Amino acid sequence: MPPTSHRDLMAACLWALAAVLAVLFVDNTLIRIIICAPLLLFLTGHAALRALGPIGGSPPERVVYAVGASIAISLVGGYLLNWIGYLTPLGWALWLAAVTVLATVIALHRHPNPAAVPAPSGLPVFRIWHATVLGIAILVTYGAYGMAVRDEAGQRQFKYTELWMLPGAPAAPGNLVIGIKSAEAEPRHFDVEVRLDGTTVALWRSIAVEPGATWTRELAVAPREGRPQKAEALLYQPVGNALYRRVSTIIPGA
Amino acid sequence: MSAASLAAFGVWRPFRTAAARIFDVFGPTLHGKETEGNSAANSGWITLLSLSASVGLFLIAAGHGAGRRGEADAGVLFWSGVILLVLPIVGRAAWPVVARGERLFLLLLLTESLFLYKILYSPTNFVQFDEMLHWITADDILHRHRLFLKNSLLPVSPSYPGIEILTTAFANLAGLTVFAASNWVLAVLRATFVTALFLFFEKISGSPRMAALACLVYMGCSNFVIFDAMFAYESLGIVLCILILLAEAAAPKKWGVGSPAALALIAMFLASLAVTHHVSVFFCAGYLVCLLAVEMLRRDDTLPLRDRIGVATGAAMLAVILPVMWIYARGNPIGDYLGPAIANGMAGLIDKLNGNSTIRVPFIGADGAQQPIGYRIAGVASVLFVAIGLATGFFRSLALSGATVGATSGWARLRAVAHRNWRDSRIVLLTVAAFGFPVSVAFRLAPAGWEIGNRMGTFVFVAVGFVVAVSIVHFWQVRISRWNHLAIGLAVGAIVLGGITTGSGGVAVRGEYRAGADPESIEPMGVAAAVWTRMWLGEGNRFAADRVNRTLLATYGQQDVVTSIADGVDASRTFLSENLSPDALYPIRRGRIDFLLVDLRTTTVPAMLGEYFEKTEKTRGRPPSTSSLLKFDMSEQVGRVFDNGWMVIFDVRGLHAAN
Repeated sequence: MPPTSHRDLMAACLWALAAVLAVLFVDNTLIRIIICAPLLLFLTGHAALRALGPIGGSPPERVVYAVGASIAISLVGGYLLNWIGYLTPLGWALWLAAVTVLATVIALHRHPNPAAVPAPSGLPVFRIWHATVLGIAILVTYGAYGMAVRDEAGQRQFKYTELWMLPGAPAAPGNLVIGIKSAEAEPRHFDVEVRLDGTTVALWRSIAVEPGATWTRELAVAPREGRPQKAEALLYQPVGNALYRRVSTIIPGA
Repeated sequence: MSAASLAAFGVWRPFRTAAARIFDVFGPTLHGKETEGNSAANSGWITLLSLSASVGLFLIAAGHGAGRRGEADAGVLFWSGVILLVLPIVGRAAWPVVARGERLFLLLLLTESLFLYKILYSPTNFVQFDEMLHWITADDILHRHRLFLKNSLLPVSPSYPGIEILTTAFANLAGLTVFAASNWVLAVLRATFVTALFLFFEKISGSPRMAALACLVYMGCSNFVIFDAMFAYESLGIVLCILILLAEAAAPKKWGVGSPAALALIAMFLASLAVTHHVSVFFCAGYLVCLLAVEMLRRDDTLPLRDRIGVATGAAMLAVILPVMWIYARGNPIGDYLGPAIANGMAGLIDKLNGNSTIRVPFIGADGAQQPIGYRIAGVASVLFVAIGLATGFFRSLALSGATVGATSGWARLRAVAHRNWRDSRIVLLTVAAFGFPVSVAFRLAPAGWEIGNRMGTFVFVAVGFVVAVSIVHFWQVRISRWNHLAIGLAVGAIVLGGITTGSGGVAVRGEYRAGADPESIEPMGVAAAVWTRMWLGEGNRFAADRVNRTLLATYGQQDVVTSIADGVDASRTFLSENLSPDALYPIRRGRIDFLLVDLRTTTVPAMLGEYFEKTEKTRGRPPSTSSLLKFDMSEQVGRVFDNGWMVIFDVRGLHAAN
């Protein structure tokens, strides 16, 4: 069999360099996916297998081994980067690039004349209509995914309003935070009453809350000497003055 | 009258004829010859099947959408899509004369389409229970840049972080979320798995047709479509497992040039597997040790034993040593995790065999709801076809392994096997391992053994796929005719469909919210409550909640949830007690619980999975009473800090020190 060149290894090294640069300077997710996915899941393993020796007969066999070896290299990288405290984007890019270059050097040293890789046989011939139908298939699949995303976003079985009341920071235990967040289908108006030991200490009327909007207020109350107190917030629907939600919190004693 | 006299009158003839027919069906006779396509792949079929798969996926997405809206035609849309996705590809891939490359392409098309099928259920977020557990570990690695941080919901997960390392590596490099990165990684893993499985079957059978059929039957495993496509450690573990099987099968038969490299490759995969998934590495170790034993039994005068078993010995030793080393390096994290499950499962099976326990009725949920008739038919048909395939393939598969020198008939080959003269120990081992299928079914019928039976399926179906493929090629599809094609295509398609229905657990179509039903219980209101806790209470509070809300609090809420598995605290006692008795207060004080999240939707129906809080809860998944969940309102030391009408959060820090 005629010897092959080492262009694949050179290309892998260049790709690894591109990945390091992409991590450093590119914010576009798609570009980083295109550059980094092959490096992480194939190229490092391919270079490592070339360094190891002639392994795998058919092209699919070499590909799956390369993916498996890439996984193994990533796992080693994970533990190593964790050990040195560098489990970061740049840490990963440098690790994968270093392995690829090192494997290339070993491969060039150990196997200067590798055996030729058999070319895949029996590949189908694609005509224009094949490409057109395949394009339609990809579009339909993408449409299926888009429809699923839309339907998921539109599923809101429960229409509700959140009401909460929390004590303030430990330094200011008398400061209460009261909040409303609406996930109703339409704008609503509410009344909010705050009681301390049964006595009303604050009242807000006809608060308009749009769907998705949040309303919050801070309320300062004087903590009682010695014993904690219980503060209550009541949320009313103005129509019929019906109690809609009720929350409470404990105010530590001063 | 003697036997000779009876024979003279022809009395034995009907018996002999019947016996011959029975042996012809179940015996080792290898009918027919391999039929392989040596032409180029047919681009017309590839194109049309890609289109049919895409239309199937579109109908599946439409079915989910209709289900979310509560429309009646959701099932019709969904299942017509599944049938359109599966049957045409299976029919073509199982066709006797198809090019090797086309078969492999169709297997990849079906595998990736089924992965998309899984994604369409929840296209933007994790909803499967196990995925949520591993998301916690991955999130810690991605945002805290550390391995081995605590995971309250699955304490063993940080010790086996293979899939999380791989996914977060990609998330770091590409700037993706864990969900998006995991889907890219899983898509590659699925393709690698099915390609490696095809190559493994092809290596040991020498036939791409048999390899394709075996892969299709494997897809009938109930774990293939959902469980092994999840963001969970087994999804990577099973890929590494099959790569090891393939690398071992492809290694040189005689120790020499190439053997050290092959062993190094196996060692690389085994080391990766040892730190990725405990169950997968145990099954892999079992396979390699048994393979070594079978190979040592084999009679072969052409090669000395030590030359034959060089790679197998090294692989078996590494398969035992590496996982043990990792377990001890991590302080044996799996003893408490796997031990009780295995012990309970075995005890459950023994109880059932002794008639001391009830039989778990298939297709009926823990809430008593029966699965639709279509699910049941598909599930039963799948098991039936697999059983028929195993019955008619077992002796044929053994005969296939028999040495062929001087032995042309199936019986002669079988005799050769009986005399330890077989050509490939892997075939013998896989054939025997196919017995795991009835064992896994028996486990599934025991209430305590269901999980073991389910997990076994992933590995047992490698053997099942091979034996059933042998039966199809050497018995069922000997005469190639249109009806025969159709029947085999439908039977294999039914096996795959059975795997899909069984794997979905009766909830394949996305529907409206259901309480205590894991993926169907995750919806925007619960997520918003968990997000609220992070935003307003901060991260890392000690929270107790029901099973579903625990996963939301630990992931979206970044809270430190209290569980019996991690903390030894059964918080169900706190929720289910009718009043604030010492029994209800004990978990709060022992577990230093700061907040309780109460979901009043659990009071409406029984839990679909048989538990709302813990497996040991006293109500066994029956709906808790509203008064028991809201009893904390009565305490002056408890604040009801959050309420959205269905979900209430109680601040119980005041109960820590109270007497």
